[in-house]
Amino acid sequence: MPKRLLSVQDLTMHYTTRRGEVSAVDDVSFDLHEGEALGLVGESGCGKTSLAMCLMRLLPENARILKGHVYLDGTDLLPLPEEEMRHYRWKRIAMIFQAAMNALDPVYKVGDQIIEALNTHLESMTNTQARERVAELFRLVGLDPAMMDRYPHEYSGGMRQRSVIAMALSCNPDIIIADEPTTALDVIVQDKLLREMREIQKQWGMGMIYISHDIAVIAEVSNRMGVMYGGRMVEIADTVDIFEQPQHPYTYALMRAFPSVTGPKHALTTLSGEPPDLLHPPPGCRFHPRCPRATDLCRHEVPLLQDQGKRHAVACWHPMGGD
Amino acid sequence: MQVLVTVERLRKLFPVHKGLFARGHSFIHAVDDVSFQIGRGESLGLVGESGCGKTTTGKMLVKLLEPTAGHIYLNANSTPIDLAPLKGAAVKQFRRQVQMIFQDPYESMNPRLTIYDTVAEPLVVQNIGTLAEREERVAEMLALVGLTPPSSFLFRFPHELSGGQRQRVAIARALVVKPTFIVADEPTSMLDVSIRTGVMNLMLDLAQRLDVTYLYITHDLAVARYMCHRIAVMYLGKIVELAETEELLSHPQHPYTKALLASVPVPAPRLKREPADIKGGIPTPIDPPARCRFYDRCPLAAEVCRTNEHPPLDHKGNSHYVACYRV
Repeated sequence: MPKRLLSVQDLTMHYTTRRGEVSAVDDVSFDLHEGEALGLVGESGCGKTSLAMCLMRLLPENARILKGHVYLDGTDLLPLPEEEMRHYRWKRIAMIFQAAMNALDPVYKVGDQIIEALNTHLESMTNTQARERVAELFRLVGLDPAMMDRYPHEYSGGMRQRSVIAMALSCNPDIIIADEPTTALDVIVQDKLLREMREIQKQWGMGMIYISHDIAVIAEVSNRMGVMYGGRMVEIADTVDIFEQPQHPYTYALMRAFPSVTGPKHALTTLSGEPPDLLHPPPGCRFHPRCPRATDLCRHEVPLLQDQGKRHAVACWHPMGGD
Repeated sequence: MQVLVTVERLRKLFPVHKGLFARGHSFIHAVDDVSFQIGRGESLGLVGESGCGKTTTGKMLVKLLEPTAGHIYLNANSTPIDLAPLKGAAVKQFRRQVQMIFQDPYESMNPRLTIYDTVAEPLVVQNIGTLAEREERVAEMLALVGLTPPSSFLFRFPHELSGGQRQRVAIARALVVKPTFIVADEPTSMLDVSIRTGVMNLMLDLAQRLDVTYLYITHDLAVARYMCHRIAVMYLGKIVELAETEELLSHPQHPYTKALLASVPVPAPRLKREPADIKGGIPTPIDPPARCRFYDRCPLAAEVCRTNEHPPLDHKGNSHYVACYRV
């Protein structure tokens, strides 16, 4: 068994808004191991980005972590004072954001922005060394090192995303969280970038968390995957097992809702209703108002994530396995 | 099949401002010599990456943009009408036949209008029906797009609805004048999966029930497969391949279509896809050289592709059209 890098336990986070408490992340637990690529899939508002922000401790002011632990090498990151958190953020656990445009400062050269990150986190580096390191990172992510003296607006969308990946890699982190890293890109560029990221991850043996709404992307990049719905982790298992034997009715519906360019064409099934309003999440299972298998039990009792064997856990009172 | 829309050598160039004192003009060749037909009741998918000209084409078809050159004919009634010379009242008449559904349901609606006013607006503009008739028609449309009961939606505002519900309102608004042809520009790309499927199924169902023809613009080949009878693939202002959906997906011929198809992620974790055979990134659409637009990225590129003009869209049998010298 490879080394456990990250262990998230019972993580619960709320946003305080004028309209009330938003239950964004509710009782989420999972582990991430060395060399593992964990895909987190779910629709907008399901809490996948909020979860990532908890792990990075980059939460907005109105966010409150109510309970839970995020262990990195035995240290719980959540109670750490900010100065100590800086030893972990970017150095041990880094993140690639969804909107690469916003992650880069338009008035500085891209190379200088990465050098700044290097200087902040890894002291005792001369400017020449730092530039050499940036050039190396650029080559790694498929950018021409000459581009380091250009500004973000001179980059195409794909190049910007590559430079943000280079920045995340710059401090040799053990874990990278990639939040919809290719969603804004066209499909050909997306495919190239995902292939390269997978390659780098394999070479470096990092732990990787890919966040995406697209199950096809998750199918290709991850070897383990978690499905989130309404702030909760409803199913987590090896990616192959989830695709071949989804246990949660929501996972099953998600699989049936995606059209594909390959295989026989089949009618797509629709889920009735809308995702829950997390200001007033439904009692019991948060999926019950849309679930074809819901019973009274589901309407009143919260199902906990339970291992069904083969490291396949599902939070459902009536999982699909039996049929 | 009866032809509803005929597009002939359509072209749209946008001038690029190089500066106050710069000499000469440069142009973005957004749509460059594009021809196709859409049959009545058919759904034609227009697929390509961002900047390939698919939205520009769609806007010209509903007369939101004027073509630089070329013709668009609509054959809704007995005599085909040419869109180009239409002015004033004739345009208004034309809009009873042709409507558009936009990508972003958050931006395509006036936030100050109620759902009733939003859906009734085309009727008011077109001066169709009395107030009572309009009310009845709007309620009927809302029920048709699955916003039931209509009475609980009529007097709400767009911000009170979810994205999926708004897109249903947009569909109701497009259909309320009973058009024969709808240009749908990425109507589901902003919606979440569990909502998106419902909207796609609704559009398929309505096409059959109301005998509507779609030009369905999307970047997603899987969505196009689900929604369309035929697919046209655009690259840098040109249609490079056009065929029936399953034919195009199972026997792609143009190297760009092949690359596009090979790049689509597949929801099957055991499958190992080969990387697409394509070089570099999309070149600029400003004053492109006359040769094949795909030349710089093409694995098949040869002398003939460089020295000749962009290849014509030729029939290769089986209603399959390809613009390539090498296939």
